Parts: sequence; C-alpha cells; structure tokens
Amino acid sequence: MASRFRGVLLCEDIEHERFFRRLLERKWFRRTQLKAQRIPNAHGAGDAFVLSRYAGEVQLARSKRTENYALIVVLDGDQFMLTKRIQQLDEQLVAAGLDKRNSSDKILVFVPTRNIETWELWLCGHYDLDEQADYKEQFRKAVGRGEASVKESIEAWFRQLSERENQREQETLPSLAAGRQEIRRLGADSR
Amino acid sequence: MITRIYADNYKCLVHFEFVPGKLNLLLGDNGSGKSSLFEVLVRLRDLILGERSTALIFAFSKTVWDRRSVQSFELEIDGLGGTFFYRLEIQHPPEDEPQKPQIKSEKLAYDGNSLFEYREGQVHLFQDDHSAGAVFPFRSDQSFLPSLESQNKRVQWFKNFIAGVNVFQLNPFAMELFSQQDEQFLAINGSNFVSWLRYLSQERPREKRESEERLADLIPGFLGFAFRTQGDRKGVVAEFSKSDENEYQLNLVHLSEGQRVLAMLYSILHGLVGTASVLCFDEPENFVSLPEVQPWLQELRDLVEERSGQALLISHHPEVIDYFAVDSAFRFHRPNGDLARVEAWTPEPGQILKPSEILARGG
Repeated sequence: MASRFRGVLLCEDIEHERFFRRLLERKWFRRTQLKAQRIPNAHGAGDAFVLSRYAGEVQLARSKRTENYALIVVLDGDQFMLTKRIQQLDEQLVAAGLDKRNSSDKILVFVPTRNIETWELWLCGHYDLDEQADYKEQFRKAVGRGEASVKESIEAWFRQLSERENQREQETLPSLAAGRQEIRRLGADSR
Repeated sequence: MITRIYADNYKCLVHFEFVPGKLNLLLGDNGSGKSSLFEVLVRLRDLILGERSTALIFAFSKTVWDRRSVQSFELEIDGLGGTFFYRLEIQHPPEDEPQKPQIKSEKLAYDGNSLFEYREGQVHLFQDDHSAGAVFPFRSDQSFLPSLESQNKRVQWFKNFIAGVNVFQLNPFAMELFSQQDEQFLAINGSNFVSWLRYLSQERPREKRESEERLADLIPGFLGFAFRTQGDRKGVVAEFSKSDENEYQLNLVHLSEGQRVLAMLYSILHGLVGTASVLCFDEPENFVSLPEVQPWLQELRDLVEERSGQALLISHHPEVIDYFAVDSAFRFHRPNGDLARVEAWTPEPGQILKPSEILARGG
C-alpha cells in the first residue's frame, strides 16, 4: 500500500467531492486527513471557485514539500477540454507570481470532461458517450434506476482493464485515461 | 424519517412548522428557536415513552405572550411505506391557578386511519381494520401510549421510532469516569458515555471498532478504548502506542476535553446513524479543533446517505455552515423579536463571499 497523504481536495462541487474523496480514500488518504474545498453555494460557478483558490492552495502545498502533503485539483473540462483547463490553472499561478506547476510538485490535476458524470456513467458500463455532450441528467436517471452509482464507479476504477478496454477508454474519454495516469503520481498501482 | 414538525404556543414557536430533509443545518441568531425545536422533540419523546409526567414535561413551556391556554404539537413521519401522524394538545391552567399542564387530546394515525386517540378523558383504541375498539377512561397527566401493549406493528414501529430520537448537547466536563452497568441510551450531554460505550462494545462491536479507527487518524498514537474493572464498577482507558512501539494507557480524565468530545462524536456516528431514527446535535463542534471539524461532517453526510439516517445540526461555526449551506441549511429568525420563523437558506447565486461570511454580516 502507498503511504498515506494528507492534503486538500480543491474541487467544484459536492459531486466532485463524493467521487474523489471515495477514490482517494481507497488507497492514498485517510478520511480525516483530506480537507475538501468546494464552492459553498448551490448555484455558483464551480470552475471560477477552483481557479480563484488554486494559487493559494498551490502556495500552501509548496510550503509543505517536506511533508507527505498533496493537493488534488478537480475542474470539469466543460467546453474547454483538458489542455485548456491546465493552461487556465497555470495562468492563475503566473498571475499570482508563482511558478507554473512542475513534476516536483505534489499537485494533481483532474479534468473530467465534459464533467464528472461522464466519467461515472462510463465507469458504470455506459459506453455510448463522448466528451462533448452533457450527461448529468442521464447519470441522475441511471442512479434512479439503480444502473449507476458513485460507489459502483469507484469499484470500476480499480478493475483491471483489458488492452482493448484501455484503448477504447483512451480514444473515447482521454480525460479519464489522463486521470488514471495522474493518480499514479501518488504512488502504488492506481487500479 | 420525520417529514414535518409543528408546534404552537410553545415558547417562541407559534403556528411554527418545520419540514426537514435527511440532513439539516439549523442556522440563526441566539434565541431564534433552534434549540426550542430540539426541546419539542425531546419532550414529545419523553411523553410518548412515559419518561415523565406532563407536569414535568410541559411546565413553563407556553408562549409567554399568548393568552390561549392550549398548546399543540404535530409530527409527521414516513415509515412502513406510509405516513404516521401524531397530534398532541396540552391544556395549561391559568397562571394564578395551581393545576398542572394536562393532556387535552392525543392522536396517532397512519395514512389517515386512527391507531389511537385520547379525548375528553377517554382512550379510544382501534382494530387493525380501523374499526373502533375499546373505549375507557384514563388519566390526563400522562400519555396512554407507553402502556399500550399493542400487537399492532404500526403502533410498535412508531414507539420504536420515537425512542430513537436522540438529541445531543455534548459536555466533556459532565462525563462520568466510571460505570456501574451498560446503558442503551447516551444522555443528552454524554455524561454516561462510559456506560453507553460498554453497551456499544457488547451489542455493536464492529461500530465501536470503526469509530476507534477514525479516532486513530485524528489522535496520534491512539489505538482504542478498553475497560478496566475497579471494584464493582468499570472505567475506560484509552490505549496509546509510542513511536518506540511501547504501549501505555490513559484514563479518560487524562484526555483533553476536545478528545473526549471527538470520542463521543465518532462513537455516536458509527453507533447510531441508521440505528437511531433521528440524531440532533446542538453545536457539535464545541471543543473540537478546526481541522477536525470537516472530517466529522463528511462522515456524518456519508453515513446519513448510506444508512438512510436523518440528522439535524445547530451550529454557528463557519466550517459547518460553509460545508452544509450548499444544500441543507435552514435559517431561523424572529422578525422584531416576534414569533420564530424558518426557511430554507442558501446564498444568492453568484455571491463571492462564503455563506458563513454572509451570515456574519447579518445575512
């Protein structure tokens, strides 16, 4: 088992928190050691919240380099996709006079695209998806029918994929494939 | 799950209605009626379980400025696939007369059909097919429900549900260090924690272990609780390990107040969410350090969702407000110091300030 971290989960909303806390608590964080920072309003702009808090959290994480501390950032891709979101985050650091994120930072960025419900549906076996459409409503209905759940999607994350499944995931949901790579930075096998 | 609480002519609650969800954060200034709502639940529970007489339960509880002599309460509860409805009327004597508060009427119904009624000094029972059953006189200073040895599973379900309404206002200074016997119910201030922990370790050892695992993450070196017999009583010691792998034990009195509250909070979560019907916490974050607040809230949210529990929290703490204001907050207020009112509360869309900051500025 990888060593356990403590740190912050900077994310947009309660849906992000539900998914990523469960994911991270499976191997890398103890429940009591991961503080969630998400937008406290029901109708606010979650991405703006994450972008506005990012530089401050990065500054704090860098001051704790010698500790087993990690910053986990989650930002829906929405219409921007992965590369653009990473660029937006970097811009926040530059504007704050900080260096851009580099490989020595224990700062992980996840960009579920189009949003976290796309990942959750996919992980629950709904493969007729892409990263452009919004599947929030479809996920909600699938949960209602008992065909999907956050818990089930977390179980699926840790399932060993065949080469063919891996390839399909990389082609259809590159943001999820990138997320699987990103979590490897915490150490241990991510699946 | 309780779906409606109504109180009229009770302290500052006049024609007051609250419709809770599964998870509820009660916000509001001091004196806005939050704790009074918890009191209503405790008083109804005590009456329905026969803990105390109406004189002790309802004395000095009427709205001071209201001249009506009748006080009324209603509960609606979802259960067994339908809705329970409970209504109670308390007749208060004029202030200058020596009589005590008495029950004027009481009724329990399920999906519109009476299960039990008390009116004009008579108990009315009903058959399972809802037809009228026995009628007989009964005293008005206590409810007949505790004495109702009913085969009716609905009546029994309702009484069990009410027995599972727990209100906590934890006070580590009140914690007794020794226990004479197991106790199934934890006192409102947690004073009998040792006795209740004995019960938990016997009846629900897995839940006790789960709460200890959480505490081990929060309290460096903590391993778990163990019981030590001293004469005819038992005390609890907290077992710790040092970095050199030697173990040592501390009596509860050697734990800090905050650590004792954490022990109670996590034990309650794991021992009672889903088992108890409703958990009410009045300022649970008292004595708890800042980084320890959110993990407990996360745990509460998860357990309430996973185990289909129901929880109500009163808090003024920014960490609690900002965590729950997104979807679970209700704001109590008393315009011009008048009657208490409550409404769902969430910051206006687009607000930059945190909910706690908005409230600190008067909302």
